[in-house]
Amino acid sequence: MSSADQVANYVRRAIISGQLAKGDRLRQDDLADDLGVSRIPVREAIIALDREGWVSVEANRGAYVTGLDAADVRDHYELRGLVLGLTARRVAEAISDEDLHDLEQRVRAMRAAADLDTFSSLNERFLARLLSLADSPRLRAALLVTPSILPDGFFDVVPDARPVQEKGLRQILRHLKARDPEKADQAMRATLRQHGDAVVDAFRQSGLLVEPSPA
Amino acid sequence: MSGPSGGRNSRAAPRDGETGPEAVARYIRKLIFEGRLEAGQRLPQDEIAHAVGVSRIPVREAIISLEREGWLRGENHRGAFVLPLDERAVTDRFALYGRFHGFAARRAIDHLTPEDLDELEALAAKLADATGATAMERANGRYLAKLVSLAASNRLRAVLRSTSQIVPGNFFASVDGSIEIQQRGIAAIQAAVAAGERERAEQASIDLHAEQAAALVAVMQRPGGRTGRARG
Repeated sequence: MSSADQVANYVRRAIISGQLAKGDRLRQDDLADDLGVSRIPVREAIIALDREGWVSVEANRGAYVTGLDAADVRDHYELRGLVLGLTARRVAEAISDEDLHDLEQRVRAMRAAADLDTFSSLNERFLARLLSLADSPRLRAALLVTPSILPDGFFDVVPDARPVQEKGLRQILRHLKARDPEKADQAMRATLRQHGDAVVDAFRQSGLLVEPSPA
Repeated sequence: MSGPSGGRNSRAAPRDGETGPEAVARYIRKLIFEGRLEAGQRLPQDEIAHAVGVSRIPVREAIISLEREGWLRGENHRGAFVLPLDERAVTDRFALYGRFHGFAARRAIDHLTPEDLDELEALAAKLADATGATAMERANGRYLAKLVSLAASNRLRAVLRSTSQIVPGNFFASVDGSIEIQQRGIAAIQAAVAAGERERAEQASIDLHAEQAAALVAVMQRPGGRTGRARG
């Protein structure tokens, strides 16, 4: 991981944990000091975070935390679902029996995973494999812009996510096996939509969402 | 190896209102589109800095944006490498764009007031009447910007900022038949939005962008299609 990636992860975690709230200004010098890096990776991280919508950069004024409300979280997972759905569609169009068998083995291993850490890392590897089977640099890039809102600990923070993911992946595999791009796409989108709802619930319970002021 | 020419390039210099990294990104996209930077090639950062007339820092900042747009792949400590701009890349980029604007149309329908719908109708009518690539580009930009603003989604705006255009300059001037395709496609989206039909609006956007992708691929596959217009 580059220094800029480390800085970006640090800021994402600070936003998710509530240490940084909507409207807070990012202090680039403090970030550089805290993390023991120079100003250059901090600037690079801020550009990436701005691109991803975590902060908003205002010319000559600095970078401000955008804050997440329920609509942001749902939109985020919906958009990520559009990218991953297209990924599943591309895979369904061209997958070989051998690759299908490999994906099935991976999902079986996920179901057998004894703890959430193992499950989570197997899940990441499954998605990475799916992305490489789709063989599309543009989809890879689009996923960089819609990274998981919870870069680590997704399955710890969202208790219902594991069964949703297992069920979703089983359905997706079935559609891949039937070489049905449309259904594989739909199943992926539906799974991500459910994750979005579950993240909203989890964030709401821990008071992390910016609630709209009553109209 | 067909790298960029070594000298300072006055057309690459930042334009009014453009930051250094934006000018660098625009220049790199153009080099890739025209085939002067090839897939797999390491990005010559010093040459690019020199051509645009900036330091290495804005070049590094442009690379971060271009990685997220799918033009380059950055590798820690090894630099950045050019990704292929082939049929697959064009098709997928337009497929994503179609999906994102389909999402915009669905969300716009969620919040639409009668006044909003009137405004959108007026913009769609202007687009339907537009003649010539310049008028078309303006009318299309306005219609889509309105649709995205009616969707009122911060996340969508962030994602769309990282979906750069593939063709440098005016798409409608470079791609044969694209004006008619756009007019037909936007009319279909608008009809579905006016009827409040979310699924149909989304599908209309997906179909429109798939058709534009095919039209662009046809141009790119023509001999000299990627640089022909620029050289007259």
